[in-house]
Amino acid sequence: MLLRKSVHRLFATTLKESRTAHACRALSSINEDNVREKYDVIIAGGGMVGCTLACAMGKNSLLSNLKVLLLEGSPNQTFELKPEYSNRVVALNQNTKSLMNSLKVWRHVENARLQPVRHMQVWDASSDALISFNSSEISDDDLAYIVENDLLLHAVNTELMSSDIRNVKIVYGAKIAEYQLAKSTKESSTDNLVKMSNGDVYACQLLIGADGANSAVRKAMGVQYLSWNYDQMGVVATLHLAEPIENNTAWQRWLPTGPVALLPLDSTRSSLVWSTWQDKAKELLKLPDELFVDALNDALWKQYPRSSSVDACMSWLGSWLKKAGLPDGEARQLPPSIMSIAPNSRAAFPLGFGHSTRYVAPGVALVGDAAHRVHPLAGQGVNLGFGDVKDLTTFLADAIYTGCEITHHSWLQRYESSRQRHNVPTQIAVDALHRLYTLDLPPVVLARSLGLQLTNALHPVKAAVDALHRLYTLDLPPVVLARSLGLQLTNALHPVKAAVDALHRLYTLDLPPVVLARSLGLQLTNALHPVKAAVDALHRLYTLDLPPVVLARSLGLQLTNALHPVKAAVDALHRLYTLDLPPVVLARSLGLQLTNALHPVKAAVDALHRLYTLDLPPVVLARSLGLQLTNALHPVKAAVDALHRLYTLDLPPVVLARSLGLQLTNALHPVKVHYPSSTR
Amino acid sequence: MTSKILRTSYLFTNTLSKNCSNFKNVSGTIQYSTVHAMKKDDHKPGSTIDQEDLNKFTKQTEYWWDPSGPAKALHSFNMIRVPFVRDGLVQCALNERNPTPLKNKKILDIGCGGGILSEALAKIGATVTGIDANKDMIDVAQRHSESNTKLVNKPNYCCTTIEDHVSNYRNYYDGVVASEVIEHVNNQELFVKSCIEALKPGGRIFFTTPNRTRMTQVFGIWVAEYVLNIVPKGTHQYEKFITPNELTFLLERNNCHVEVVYGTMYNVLLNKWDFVNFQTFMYALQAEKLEIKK
Repeated sequence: MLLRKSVHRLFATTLKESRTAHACRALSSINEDNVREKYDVIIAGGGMVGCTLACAMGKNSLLSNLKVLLLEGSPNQTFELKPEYSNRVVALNQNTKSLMNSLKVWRHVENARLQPVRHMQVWDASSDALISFNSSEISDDDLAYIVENDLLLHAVNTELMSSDIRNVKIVYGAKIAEYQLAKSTKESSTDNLVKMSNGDVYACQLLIGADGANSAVRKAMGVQYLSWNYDQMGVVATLHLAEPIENNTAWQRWLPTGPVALLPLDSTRSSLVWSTWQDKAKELLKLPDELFVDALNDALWKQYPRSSSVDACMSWLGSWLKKAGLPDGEARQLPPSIMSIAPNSRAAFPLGFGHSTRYVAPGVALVGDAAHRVHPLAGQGVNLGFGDVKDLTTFLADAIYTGCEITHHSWLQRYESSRQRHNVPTQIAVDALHRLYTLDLPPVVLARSLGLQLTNALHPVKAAVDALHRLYTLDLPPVVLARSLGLQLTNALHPVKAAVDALHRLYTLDLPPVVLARSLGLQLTNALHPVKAAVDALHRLYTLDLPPVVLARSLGLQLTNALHPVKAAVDALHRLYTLDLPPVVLARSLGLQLTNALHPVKAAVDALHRLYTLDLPPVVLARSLGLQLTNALHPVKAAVDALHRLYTLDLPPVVLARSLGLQLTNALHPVKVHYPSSTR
Repeated sequence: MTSKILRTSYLFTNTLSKNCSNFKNVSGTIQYSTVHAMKKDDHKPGSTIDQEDLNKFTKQTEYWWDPSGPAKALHSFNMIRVPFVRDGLVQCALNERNPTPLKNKKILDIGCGGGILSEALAKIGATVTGIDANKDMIDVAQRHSESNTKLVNKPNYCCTTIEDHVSNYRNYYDGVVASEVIEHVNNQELFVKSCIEALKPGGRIFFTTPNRTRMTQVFGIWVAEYVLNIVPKGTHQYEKFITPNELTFLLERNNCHVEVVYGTMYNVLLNKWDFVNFQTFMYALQAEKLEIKK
């Protein structure tokens, strides 16, 4: 009881804080009388992910009874397939293809145009390292499909407008003024309100933020958003090749400034994604077309200054690989040379990393870039978003099939958990890859080159890694590459991740019983282990009918019976907890006091909790990575280290400083004495 | 008080000796007599109601429908027992599912309490009759279902016992659910028999209940009720728990085929239930009433 109370007290403050946050949100109240229409679901943002979500909700037999409103900020544009390709393209993986197939969207894309990628070659500008992927080696299916953004959006919209979908209403040119999110109380929960700038108010049970990296829904949720800028921009353009080729290879060269990638569009055209530093990107945008093409060909072909030691190691590795009969990366395909670029096709967009620590809140969920943002180097961003769509519809449908509200926290949390488990490692891998390849230090270059070369040589390994990977996620090979490169972060993170996830959930719930439970949980789990084993052994003992076992257990039973004191003790315990006599109550209260005596443990747990409720992004990152301990240790270690240095140095000024410091501290005796009492 | 102490100790040693007899004889007859022996002397024979147990629940009425109150474990239990009952009664392909899979299914929820499970089943289309011997609980259930505007298909509630109810509804229900009930019942043999009489041939009966193991005694009763206080004190009595073997035996004697027995486990920390592959703590059992009469 006492323990419970103290935990109550500890968390009363936290609870109050969260209530004030709620109150702040409520201040900007929207008059509920203005509600024009009520919907079950409102999807804010009609981009590729938002529209696909609306489409998936219309097609799912369980979700097609929901009234869905899709709010898109831009006007309804008529799409026509122009002969010239758009400069914004996406690489869709097999997962996305199967989602699009199930929504009958893929046929529209196939009828228009898409380019399957069957080979992929990635090589390093700072060394001879190279890796190549062929679809025949991996799963005899295309590695990816290059589709234009607006074509894909049009295909989804075509299906969304078709007569199959009746429950989705779309408002174009929707300017959203503000969100008032649902407040859930014990008894009931209010609706989410969406106020438009023209004064209309829409209400909904479930609000889905598909409104991109600067999500206003996410801001309204008030969740922590971990983000950084790469100080890079992605320069895109549509390229004309010098001669027609069988163009189904994706090329990517790692320059010290960032990756430059050519994605095939058709036999004479490719799409460019060139990630580079911001000032360089701005220069590239200003160049005349011919000079831009020269710069690009330079980027693809130019020999960069190399470290001779790296080269020596690489050629040594190459000769050994050759002796072993393994590919040494000498037989490389050459990228196509670029003749010109399509007029006015050049553009640039900023690159960044973003991760929302929560994807859901009561009655709200985030999908796509609103929840996560990655560097485009692996072409994963939109595929992660489509993965969100698939999982969210599955979980919402499951909620309805079980008779729960679509806003039921249990299913929303499952959505968050399953997506973060997939998205966060991918994001980290992509980020790590970026960091690895923008460093130009010889040891780093050597490490990555050797890793790449070896991976390429070890075909069976590559296939196995890839098969394993596909088995789990069916993702794009660059992620496989990331693992193979010895980063293996993703792999290593798996159990840690699950544990961190559970821990995170455990420590972010503020319900007093949970708080109590988690304080006790460690002890209990630990205590349970031997008990469970013992019980299991007992069970086995009593379910076997072999004569010796029967004999043994009969003897055991006799013995137990003989062991009167044990039985008496068990009985006493039973009496202790079933009797309401004052002395008995006293005895068991004392026992509870003992539990309370586990004060230091409680304090430690509390400290850990505080660490986990700090809102600083670095802390959030650290704990997501399972590095929280290291992080916590850092300042302590640094302080201890500084102290050690201070006292082992014999330089006069240092000696003086430490002597003065000690003297001073000593002199401040009254302060030292009174300080604790004044704070009490 | 003294008599209470005496009785407790009697029951305690009694259970010990009962267990011993169970272990020695796996044959049905002994198990039957064990179950039969659970009937207490101070109750009229032929009733499944334990008045003492009933009164315990009356105290909890006001908190019943608070999803984070004392009955929160029952609320979260719906996350697995609704799918358990649903999938036991209908199997539906992924793309043909609709929000009311249990439409046209008549379900009897025995010991419905405040109607947490009854309303959840009614929500996915079932025609639910909820019965409970406790008038106060039926009032709670009735009031909540009337005030729940989101619930169109409302369950019928009736304050009665299963043996009285079945006299008017023999071979009537597609599904009978006894969730966390059989451990509060006197004369479990009569209880199971009456449940099955209410069921159509081919219908399915669902039980969820704690197992009678030392683990449930320690963690399900002592720790949960007296240390952690997650279950109201005195909710469960160890000696009334029934093992899957005993329950299977009772069902098979009544012309039922036990189809599945899952272990269930409550995660106190996350307030979450899971199906597990050990039945040490609790279990969920599904049986079909066979067509052919003996």
